[in-house]
Amino acid sequence: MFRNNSGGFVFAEFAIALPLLILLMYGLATVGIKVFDVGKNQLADYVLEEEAHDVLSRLIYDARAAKKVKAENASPTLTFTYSTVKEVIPSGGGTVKGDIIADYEENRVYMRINEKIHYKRQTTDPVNPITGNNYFGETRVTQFEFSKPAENVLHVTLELESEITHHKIKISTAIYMPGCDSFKVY
Amino acid sequence: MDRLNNERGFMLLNVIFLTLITSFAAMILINAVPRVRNPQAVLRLTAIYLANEQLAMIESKAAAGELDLNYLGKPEDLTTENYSENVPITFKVTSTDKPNGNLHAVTVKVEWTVNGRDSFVELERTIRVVPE
Repeated sequence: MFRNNSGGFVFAEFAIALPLLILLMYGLATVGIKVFDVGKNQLADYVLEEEAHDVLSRLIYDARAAKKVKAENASPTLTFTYSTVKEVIPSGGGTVKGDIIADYEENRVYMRINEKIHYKRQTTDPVNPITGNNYFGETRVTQFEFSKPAENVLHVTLELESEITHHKIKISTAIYMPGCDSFKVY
Repeated sequence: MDRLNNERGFMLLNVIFLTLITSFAAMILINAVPRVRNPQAVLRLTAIYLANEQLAMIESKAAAGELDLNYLGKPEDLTTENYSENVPITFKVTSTDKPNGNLHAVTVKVEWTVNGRDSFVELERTIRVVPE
């Protein structure tokens, strides 16, 4: 069998290389799958962290300048009211273009609906979700709570859970609202 | 042995295949290195919001005329389990003050230890103490 051509080189070549190749490829495939899996979890965790950070940083900037704050814990809703001015749109009567209404009030609302945090401005009628629906990992809100630990201080606790890794991130913070006239937590 | 002269092609192919497999393995393993999860980023974020909480509480008291540098936030906010596999991590909050009239540059330092490594976050804010 081996006598006629190469002294068994082809046989020896594949007898050694094929099992080695199979073992090596098996190992590489396992490591490769693990790398992709860990990468997927890492992205999901990053989304979780980023969404908690985004909600809280928006909330801090909105709360800081609020005139009136109403927080409800039963169905988590946070309403900020600002005193702004608004230009009158002339529609007959005694007003002309350029007149303004002083003490015009505008709302910004954060609310939890179906395990997502939604954000609403008075000027935008539909409610926009600001968490969830991320391509790299779905999240759900497990806790969104408010309390009033001191005068004009709003304490917020936000807990999010990733649907991919089931990791939880819980961040608490407080915002002092210097210009707040009425602050109620229900 | 002279018959191996016929197998030069195979030997060359072996060299090419081994090079390919080695580079492939190296590529996969190099990719695996940065995938090791680093919990510091999340703890840092939690600490920043904790420092914000302490500054808000100091500001509220300062508006009533008193600068209090003790920890004023909620005691349960000092421990966190964010990404720490159910092992609570405790933050240490210290506040220092550099007064300039009734304006105070208050620095809040939040410290924690994870896996024997000490880390900290420092936030500063100018707070006006309203005299009564």
